Amino acid sequence: MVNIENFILDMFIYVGIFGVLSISLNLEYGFTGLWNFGKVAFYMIGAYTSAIITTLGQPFYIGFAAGVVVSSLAGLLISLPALRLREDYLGILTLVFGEIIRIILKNEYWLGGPLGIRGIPSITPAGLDYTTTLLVQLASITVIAAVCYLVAYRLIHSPFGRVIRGIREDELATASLGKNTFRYKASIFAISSAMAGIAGAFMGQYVTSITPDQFMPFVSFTVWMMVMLGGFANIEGAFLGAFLYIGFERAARIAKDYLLLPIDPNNLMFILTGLLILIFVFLRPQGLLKENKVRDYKGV
Amino acid sequence: MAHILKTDNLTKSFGGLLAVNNVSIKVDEGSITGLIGPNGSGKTTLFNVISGALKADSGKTYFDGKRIDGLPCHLIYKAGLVRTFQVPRLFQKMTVLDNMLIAARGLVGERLTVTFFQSWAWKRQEEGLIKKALAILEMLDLYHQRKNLAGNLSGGQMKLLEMGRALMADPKMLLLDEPAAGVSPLVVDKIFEKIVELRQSLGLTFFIIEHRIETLFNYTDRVIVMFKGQVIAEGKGKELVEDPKVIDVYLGEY
Repeated sequence: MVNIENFILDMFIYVGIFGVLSISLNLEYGFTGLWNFGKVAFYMIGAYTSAIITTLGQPFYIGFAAGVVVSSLAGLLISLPALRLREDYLGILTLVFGEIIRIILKNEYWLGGPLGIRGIPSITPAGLDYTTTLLVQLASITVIAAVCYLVAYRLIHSPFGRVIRGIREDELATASLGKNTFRYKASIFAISSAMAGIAGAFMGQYVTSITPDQFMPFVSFTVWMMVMLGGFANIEGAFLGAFLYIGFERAARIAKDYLLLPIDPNNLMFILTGLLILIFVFLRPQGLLKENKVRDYKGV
Repeated sequence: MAHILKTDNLTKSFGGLLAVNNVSIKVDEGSITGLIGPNGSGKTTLFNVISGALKADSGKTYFDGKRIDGLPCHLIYKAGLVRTFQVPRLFQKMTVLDNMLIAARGLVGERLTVTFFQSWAWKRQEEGLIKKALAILEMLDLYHQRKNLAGNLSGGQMKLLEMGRALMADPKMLLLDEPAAGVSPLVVDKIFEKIVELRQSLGLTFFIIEHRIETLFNYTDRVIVMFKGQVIAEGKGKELVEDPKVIDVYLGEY
């Protein structure tokens, strides 16, 4: 078997990217109860911002920083009207927001048009062999994921994290206890959009080309499935879910080459992931891991 | 005695239904005031309007000398007016202790800079708050449940926890919406004895919706009677029992 190690390295890089996206969705839905079906929008905005800036010759860290800032601002901007809506309408609005951004990018030729942006400079120096390149990329996404994890960890194990859980459980009660719930929801939207932005920026330089059709709504639903698998309101579960989903997807992709099936084997992956989600919805709707506690209250 | 809460012709309608119709009431500082009325007479809507959960169509509300009508809930809380709900609105998937701590006033850890860079600051503040929360839980006989999820409590315990949560907020005045509904008769008296005790020890003002007239008359200084969105009578318990209007709409049901 050739290159199995590259296949596995590539898989873990994607686990890192989608782990960050899952943490970001978990902050919104798992902890705060905000229905965001447009996670892909902020992923896309991060990817495009960083790609445009780095192809203009700026170093990657400026591209990443810009991706984070622009995504976060976009999150804040959409949260202003959107967070006044009821949860289901918020879901619809975020879903549509992602599609609007995608269709704009597809039709604006100065932003790449339908072919997207190619030749995005990678963070790895040229001339390395492929396995080393992958290792450097894996190390980089690990650092990014660790930072996002720490940010989320601090947030959820704090009085701030208690308030956002309160908003999820009962927003009116939280407001009656003196919390400006809008400010909390907007902060969470901005922080988690920033995380989606850096995931996008990283993905762009890793793949070195992005197209609008890479950012279909299905990407958002993939992140939802990962959160469902790993566990709602559990930031470790975000990575577990990403690992399980991507591992399962890739295993199905390999398996189809060895199986004789009465169906189009390319559909096997979708059938199996659908089945997996159904099993979870019926048997363990809360996901594998339980909600993170606010604090342990040792000695209390 | 000064009026801590005053409403001026408060009106709130839902479509064609006038739920609260020109209600002008006064609550004395440091008093325990009751609010009774048949189902659908607008008591809870009045509470919702006063506490900012609903916006009044017209009229004014004054609390502690300041106008509070039109303010959002969290600012009314800041002014010192804290409420409970008829059906307890607890944070079900959070522990009893977390339910208490969320209500505390002036938490430094709610600021993001503190959350990210100064976790020692909120941890130090929280030590004191935990002690305070546990003392309140002890008083309400909920201490043994402190690490349980609020959603696993019994109906009566939920009522108590909601009152505890409101006390955690250091209020000047509490609006209690049926604090003793669904609670066994023995505990009802205990709750109201606690209320009297808290009024004495902390100087709190209570405004209480309650259906059990006998209980209300025993423990309150004044009672306001609502019917079809309007205040039809107010006064001391014993005077009210003889008021023909009250007998007609409320006591007459007995």
